[in-house]
Amino acid sequence: MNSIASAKSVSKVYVKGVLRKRFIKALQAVSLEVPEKGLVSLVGESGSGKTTLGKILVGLVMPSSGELSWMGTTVVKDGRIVRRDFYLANRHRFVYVHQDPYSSLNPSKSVKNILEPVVRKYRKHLSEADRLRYIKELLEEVGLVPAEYFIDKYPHHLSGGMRQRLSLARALIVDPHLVVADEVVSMVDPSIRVSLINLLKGVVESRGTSVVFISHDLGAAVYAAGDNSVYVMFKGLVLEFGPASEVIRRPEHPYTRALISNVPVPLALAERRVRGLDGVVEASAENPSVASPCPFAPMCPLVDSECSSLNLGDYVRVGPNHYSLCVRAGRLPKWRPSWLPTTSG
Amino acid sequence: MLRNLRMEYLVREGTIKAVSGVTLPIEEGRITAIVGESGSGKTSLIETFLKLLPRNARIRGGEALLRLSNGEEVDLIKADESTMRKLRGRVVGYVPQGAQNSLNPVLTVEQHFVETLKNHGLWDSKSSVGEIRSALSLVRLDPDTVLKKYPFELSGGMKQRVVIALTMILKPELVILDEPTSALDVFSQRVLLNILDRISEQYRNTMILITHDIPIVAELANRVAVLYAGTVVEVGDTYEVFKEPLHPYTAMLIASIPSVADIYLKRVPRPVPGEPPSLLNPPLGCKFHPRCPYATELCRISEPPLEELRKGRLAKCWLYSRGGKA
Repeated sequence: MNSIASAKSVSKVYVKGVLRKRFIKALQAVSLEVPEKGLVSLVGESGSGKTTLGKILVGLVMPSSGELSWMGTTVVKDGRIVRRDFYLANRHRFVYVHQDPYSSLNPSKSVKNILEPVVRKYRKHLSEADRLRYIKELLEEVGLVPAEYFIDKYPHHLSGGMRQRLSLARALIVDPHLVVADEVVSMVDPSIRVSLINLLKGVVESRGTSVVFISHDLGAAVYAAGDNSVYVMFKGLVLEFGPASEVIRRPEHPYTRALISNVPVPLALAERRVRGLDGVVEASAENPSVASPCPFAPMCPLVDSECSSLNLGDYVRVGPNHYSLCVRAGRLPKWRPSWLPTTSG
Repeated sequence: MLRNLRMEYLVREGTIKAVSGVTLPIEEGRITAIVGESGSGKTSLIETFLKLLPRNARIRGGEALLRLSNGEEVDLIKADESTMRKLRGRVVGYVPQGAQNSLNPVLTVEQHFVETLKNHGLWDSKSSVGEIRSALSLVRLDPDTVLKKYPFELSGGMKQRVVIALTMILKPELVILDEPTSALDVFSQRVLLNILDRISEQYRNTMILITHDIPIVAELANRVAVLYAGTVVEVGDTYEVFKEPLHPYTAMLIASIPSVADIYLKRVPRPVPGEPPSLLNPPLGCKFHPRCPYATELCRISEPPLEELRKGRLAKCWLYSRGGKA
């Protein structure tokens, strides 16, 4: 499988402060491949580096080190653009859809006027009548139907979900190779989320556009990924990645396990209600601090001296296309989510 | 107990019917969750209840009855501002949305507590220090490390817990929490859920939890009320509502959430068609009918009543109502 975009061991350090400089490691040696005509999900808490990684993939942020390739061609290496001609010729086809649909659309422009300048720029051959027809087709594709109704509306007439559909329509005008959808469902009503994710999946299917779906919601990320890969991020590192169904059913990193165990789950209702933190020890507790590069070590209930030997970037293969950054991956104790009723699963 | 509460916002384009006839029994000593999507009127409902409304809001009628510990019943809608001031905080504690941002950045945690107690005339140099410490322990914060800290030195989850401790130190009989878990990561969420559960068990106070997060409701609340377009469409015990939702909206909302557990068990979430209606111009009849697969002619012209179908189980739908054809 060819990759449309791939990051090889990319790191990003942000420098904060002028006199007393502080360095913030937003990403540490992260590698990721976005397959052609595929969807990849990134999941992580705020501050885990998922947005930075998404922006690096589309060339909006320069990594401090590591390599970025587009369609097999290295465009960025060690923080510098190495193929400027190729980068400039292609960057408009790597697009980014923002989280907040209330600030990413110009409130003084109608739907038509939001889309038209982009169409004019990237579809120069279209006549004015064709442009209008094209915009209508686009609105229909993203589910803003009937298009005639929406075309003269302003953003304040639209709900959060409709605005995200419009943002996506704008992104699709360039026939993108890759769309990075950053938390596009987090500000949208719950009952609309699934249809928005289905729309993204449809874009992958019908257009062959690759999508990187970024979310802090494990359920949404895993549902979006389907049979594709999900990358679990924590504090600037990818701790585990693999086919979504595998990662969720057979996680091989203590962090992923803790994440799954601690999500609120309606099913638990029938079993038991009150549970403590499962698979996590609170950071300041008696947990003997082990000097380990693993960011989860201070909270990990399974931490031991072996963890100090971890080398960031050395993933353990635990299944087909399924990798974990835990030194003991594959040798971890048996696990099942604490909320799982004992009768099923 | 809320009875037929109605509130509108006056805006340039007309009136937004944010709360249109909400009737909602709140059981004492239990956790009731009010679930709804954004724009369903959850926060407006609570702000009406506490009369903390912006200037363009108008209460159009209804009652908001609050039973005090001495058995007296006050209608908050009729109460004047001085009565409200006495009730807020002492009797009704309110943790607003994004509470972690409501701490004063130039005061330490300790100063927040002292100020709160002094404002309510409860400061006592002998006993208060101990009370502050136990309030912090209640929310699982170590008083020795937290008291002298400024808000910027605490994480979002810790700030949230400080605000809850500040609310609890006044020992309110009713605690209202607006979206307490949004903006928290999974682990902080879990800690908070445990804390709220413990508070409810220890103090036996009534809690109202406002959220759009279905799984959170399912875990924490005893009772759940589903809000849609400014009206309550279903009320019941959490377990029953999730097991057998009566209103089509409730059923579709629950089925649409891509929860980790459902995916683990290979259940596919089903989207709810359509969009929530505009409250500027809500549909006639049942407000859910444009999205409802069971909608009939009756649903299009006439709004169903919220009826008690069996004990503690209410639904607002013609499918069940005696007035309509099932």
